[in-house]
Amino acid sequence: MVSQKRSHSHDHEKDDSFDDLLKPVYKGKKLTDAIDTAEDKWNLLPAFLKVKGLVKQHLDSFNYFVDKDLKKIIEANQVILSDVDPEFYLKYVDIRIGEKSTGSKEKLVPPHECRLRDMTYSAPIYVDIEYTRGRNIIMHKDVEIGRMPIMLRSNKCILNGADQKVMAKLNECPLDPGGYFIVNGTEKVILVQEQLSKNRIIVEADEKKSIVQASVTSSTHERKSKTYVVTKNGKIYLKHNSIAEEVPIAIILKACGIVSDLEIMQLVCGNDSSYQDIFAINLEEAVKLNISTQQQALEYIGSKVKTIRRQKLSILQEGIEAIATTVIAHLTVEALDFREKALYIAMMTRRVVMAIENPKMVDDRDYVGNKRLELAGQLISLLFEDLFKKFNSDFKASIDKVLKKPNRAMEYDALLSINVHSNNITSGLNRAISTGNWSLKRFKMERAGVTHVLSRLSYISALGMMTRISSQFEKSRKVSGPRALQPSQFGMLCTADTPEGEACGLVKNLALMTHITTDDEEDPIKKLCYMLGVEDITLIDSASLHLNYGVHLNGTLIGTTRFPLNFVSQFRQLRRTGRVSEFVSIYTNSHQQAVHIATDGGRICRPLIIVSNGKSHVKAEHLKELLEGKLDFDDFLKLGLVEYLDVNEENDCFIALYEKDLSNRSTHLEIEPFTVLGAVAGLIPYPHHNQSPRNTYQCAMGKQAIGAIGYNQFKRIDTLLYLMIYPQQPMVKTKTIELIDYDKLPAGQNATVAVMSYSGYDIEDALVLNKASIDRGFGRCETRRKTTTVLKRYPNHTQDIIGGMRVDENNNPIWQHEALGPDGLGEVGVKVNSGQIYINKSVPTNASDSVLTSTQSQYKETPVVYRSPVPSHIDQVMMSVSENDQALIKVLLRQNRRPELGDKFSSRHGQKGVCGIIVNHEDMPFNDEGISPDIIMNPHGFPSRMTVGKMIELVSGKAGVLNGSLEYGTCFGGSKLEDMSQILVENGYNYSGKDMLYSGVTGECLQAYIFFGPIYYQKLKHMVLDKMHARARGPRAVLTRQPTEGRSRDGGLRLGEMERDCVIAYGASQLLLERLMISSDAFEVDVCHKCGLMGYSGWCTTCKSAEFIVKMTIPYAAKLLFQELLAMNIAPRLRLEDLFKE
Amino acid sequence: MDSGNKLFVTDEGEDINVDQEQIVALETESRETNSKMDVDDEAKGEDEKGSAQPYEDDADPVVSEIPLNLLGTSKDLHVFQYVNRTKISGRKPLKLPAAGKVRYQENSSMWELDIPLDDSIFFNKEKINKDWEANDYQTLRGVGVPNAGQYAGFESNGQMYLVPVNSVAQLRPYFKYIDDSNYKKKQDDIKQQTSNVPQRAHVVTMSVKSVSEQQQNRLTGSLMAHKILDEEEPLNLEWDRSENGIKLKEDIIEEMKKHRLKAVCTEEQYLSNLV
Repeated sequence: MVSQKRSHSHDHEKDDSFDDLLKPVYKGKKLTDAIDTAEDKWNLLPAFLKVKGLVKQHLDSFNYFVDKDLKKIIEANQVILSDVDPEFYLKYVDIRIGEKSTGSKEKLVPPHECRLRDMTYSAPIYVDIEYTRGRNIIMHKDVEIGRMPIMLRSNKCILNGADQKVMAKLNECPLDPGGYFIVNGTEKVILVQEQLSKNRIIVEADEKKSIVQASVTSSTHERKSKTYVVTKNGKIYLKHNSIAEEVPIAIILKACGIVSDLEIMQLVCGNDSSYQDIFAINLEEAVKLNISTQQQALEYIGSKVKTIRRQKLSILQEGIEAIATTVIAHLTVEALDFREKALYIAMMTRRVVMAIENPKMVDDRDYVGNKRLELAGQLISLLFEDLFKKFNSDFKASIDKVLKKPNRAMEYDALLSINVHSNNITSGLNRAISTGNWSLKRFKMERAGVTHVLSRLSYISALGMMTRISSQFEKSRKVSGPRALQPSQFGMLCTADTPEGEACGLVKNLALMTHITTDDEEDPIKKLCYMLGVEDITLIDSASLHLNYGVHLNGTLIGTTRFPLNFVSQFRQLRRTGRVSEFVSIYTNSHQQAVHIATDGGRICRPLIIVSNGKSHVKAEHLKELLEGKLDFDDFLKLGLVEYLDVNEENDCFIALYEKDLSNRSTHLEIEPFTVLGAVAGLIPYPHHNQSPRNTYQCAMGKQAIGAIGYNQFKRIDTLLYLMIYPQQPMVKTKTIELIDYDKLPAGQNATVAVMSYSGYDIEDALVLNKASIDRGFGRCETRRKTTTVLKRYPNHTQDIIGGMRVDENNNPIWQHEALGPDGLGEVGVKVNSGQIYINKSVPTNASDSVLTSTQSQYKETPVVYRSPVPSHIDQVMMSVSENDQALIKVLLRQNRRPELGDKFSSRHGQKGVCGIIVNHEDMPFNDEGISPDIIMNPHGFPSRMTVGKMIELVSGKAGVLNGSLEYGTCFGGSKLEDMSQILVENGYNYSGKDMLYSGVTGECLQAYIFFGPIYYQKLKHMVLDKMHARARGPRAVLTRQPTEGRSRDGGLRLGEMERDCVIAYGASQLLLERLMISSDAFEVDVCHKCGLMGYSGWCTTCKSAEFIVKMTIPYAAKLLFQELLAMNIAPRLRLEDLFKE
Repeated sequence: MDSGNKLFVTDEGEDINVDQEQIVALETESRETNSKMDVDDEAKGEDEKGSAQPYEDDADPVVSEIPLNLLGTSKDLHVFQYVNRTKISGRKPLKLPAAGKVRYQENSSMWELDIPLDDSIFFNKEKINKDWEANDYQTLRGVGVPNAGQYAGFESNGQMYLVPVNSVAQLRPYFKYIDDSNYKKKQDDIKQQTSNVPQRAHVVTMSVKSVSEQQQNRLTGSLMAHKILDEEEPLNLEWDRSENGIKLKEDIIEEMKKHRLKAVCTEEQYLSNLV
């Protein structure tokens, strides 16, 4: 095949990385070939990823926060008034991040420098304020109130829009997706959080207890609260946390001003007589309590309210406040008209009545359409608003303090005290991101584990982390519902990528082509609905409410329409022409007789090709223009060729999977079916031929594979970094691999595999490795480990110092200091052995007293000593200054590792194995051409695992090698097995991929044909060198004097309870004694056999005598127990007996 | 609003023109229009849109086209919806009630109408005198909700005349007499209790409140609105029983003849402004 360079006539800016995506030859078709069908519609994918990128959801949400949400927060908390001086006010006019009012941008410290110097990558937060000073109003611009951590590659980041050259200059990897923060030098990701949708009614039923409840979690900037409408003994009540008991629904509706029973009935039941029968009993409740007017109802509710207020309210006022702000808090009533609220409560009641009548009319909590994803921007926004409120109240307190003083000498300038509190915002944000503890005072919410350290094990593990979604569910609870695969997650969430074990199904990953929405304005949409003929809800009388379809905007009823389908299709028309935001979704729900419009943030959506009259809107010419760069993805949206659908709207559509499936009923066409998988599962070749759990296993292992992590990997100084020395791109690629640039930063090597039995050292999935392959660099990797030291300064003006090297009589450095240079730090390139020093630090002995008292400052040596069975080389030494002006030293140690027995490898099909034996080249089997395998894999790995994809990978890989091409194993597509076999046959091989091999030992031809060819193998991070451990003697714990635990503490190997049982059963009592006491914590005590208590140095303190003292050996833990019991006033007395009487 | 509803009967709207303190019995029909667009254009545009759609809910054919006239200025129209009133009594359609007294609180836009009750049937006069303090009228009450985009219209000479509506109020019964009697009963109870209990000397503790604390206790939101309502003196209006409605219609037609509305932008521009 010939690859041909194209000359571009780009309308759009040239982007090198994008060109590469378009280069490959796909399905035997070059890009210059005519595109006659829309089969090449997969080209939309790179176009989508160019606009959206894999971590675009994080960036979008952060950009939205910085550009829009911040301004809203400022607006909501705009004015600070003083309680003391009524004349005083301070008003926030504007807020900007990293940009002054003049438009000049703050120069930020580049991200890589922040990583190296343990700094926070942040930009100043500027506000413009207007305030009074004496009688004057003063405007002050660009007041810094703190620093905001900046998400990498967001629009406030210096990497935004940077090309490869700039990235290289800033020591950044151009393939790094961004979307994370750098706080105190560590990269932190705010994981996407999954939650139940807010401000929507969810109806649930417990059929056993015959309870139906509708609940809504109201969420505003101010508060979060949950309101329930529940059934109890067949009657319906409203329940809310701040109302002491359940209130009959009729009373609530009366309190909202719907005083007549007729109207209540109309609002809840409409014309439906079966609903009326169910509901009628509730009207009696109000009569029983003798409540007929609005005021009576309000007073009834007011008497049940249990909110504690500073301000004393009358019972009536409490009732009004409860209805206006507490119940259904997201609809706050500011005036006298409670009708909106009444309608909402009536709708909830109606849903409950519907569910009583038909138990199938309930909602599914696990349905993806009822989920919202909370992203970094939203989480930071919540945190910032909390901190900003705190900042304002602190600021106000300090203003009041000054203004309280009656006669000040000078006019008070409020600006002077603004800077005092600015550290609160900065440190609050930093602390939350670095610890992951999100505490929001106004919601009384504490959340832990929101942020994680970005895993840099491999490029794919970093990517996988950015697309990960964590759920709020408890991991320990044994529930199947939230963990199950949902049909509605098709194309939205990856079907394969989830961890095994306790978090299975709760942690999910985004699919390849998803977008998460940000909040959109409601008002213009509302206006548009009225324009399109929706009747305003304020004008509709209660009797005719349920005659037509209700129109709900973000869960709130705004009107009704007689022609729902017409309305919906007109609305969609406007969206397709770009008049409405493309992320607004609209769909009809015929069960609820409702049209739902959603503009809220956090919905998952994905693009689909629009189809009308059985014809795809995307035609060959559009794709041609896309390839020529005349169109980009956004143009496809504007032209009405492609649109975003969220999960709810998907259910209202008829989506064809392939073009051949199109019919007149089809409304949409899938862009590419392989987008059901995410970035990590996309690495698997032929996943559609594998047993499903195998794909899930590979998703977990792909993240542990050692490979290249970025173009800047050698510039990085990370705590621990694994790098593969000779990574290769896979012979059998997938489209996803190209799209996410895994071929540029791969993690694995193409190994020639023979599937056969060899030597017996290959049981339990163990692999046989060829020694010559290892010699040539197969599976070779390096580890890079960082040591950080800070040279502290102390209050008495002393500080830590680095000493030089010590020399012996021949002026040669002593052995411990051999790795040191004259500056007391290890020299780059020098080998360090265990016990040698590579940072020769000393700390002053006296750090607290004044220097004046002790004339000569004394230093104590606290060198950093290298301890490891294998020597390392010093790779980098960095000396810098951290943010708080202390000298910072980082030394990077490198180890080069070749594979050894016990190292873990895996193919891309969830088939892991350890190296069982390393065989000399001459003993390996070979074929006619003298090729011997790198790896021998035992065929027993196949039958139970059913990883057929692995076999096809081998055949495709072999064909690719013979053909000189890279083959594709894309999900639901890829190179066809027939074509591959054809190539094999053409090159003189067997179609099935089996070869005749000769034994390396005897030289004889093997009895069977051997399945032989290249498979991409990953080396996993679990290596014997990091795990091997033994101890003869070593450290002991202080308290119990037993050996310490764990390899890192040079601990002992525990003979546990079950092992003890075995030894007892065997009757090996002396072994037991030795293992449990003598080799552990034997201790000689002096026991007084008169009183039975322990004495010491041959003296019993109880009996005041040495007469009855006997020496004996007991475990130290036993001695400790006796003493602890004594301390509790329990005297354990030892009664001794001589077992071997003479 | 269609009356396919069998159990319940929908209401009718009615306009009151406050400016002139007269009552006009207009047949109202609200319709979505907008003031910036040329009316004829809009009507056509909608029709085209309607027919272009492949999915029709049901047959909704165009029967006839009626020219629309828009009044640009406000006539201070308020629409009343009698939410709980039945349209027919037996088989006879009910006449619109004439209110005895009309009270209006302008700041809160709260309407209160006293409607005389028909005391000829189903009416216990004794109970009124005994239990409730002589009430032979029903009080209806409703908050005027400000409205943009709603028009009241009437037809004359085959032409439609549309006047913008200021606010729409849904009128519901307001049982003030129950609340009043409850209040009275409560007061009596308290009085009795206090009179029964012998007066005893008790310690009164007083504390000095700081100025700043008081200032924090400001009512907000709905509570504030209720406070304003309670404090506002209602405006007493007359219910006009004459046939001045016809004159008002003529006035409107005259006024509309003078002004011809001109579109300031095209449909495209308008739509892009809108969304």
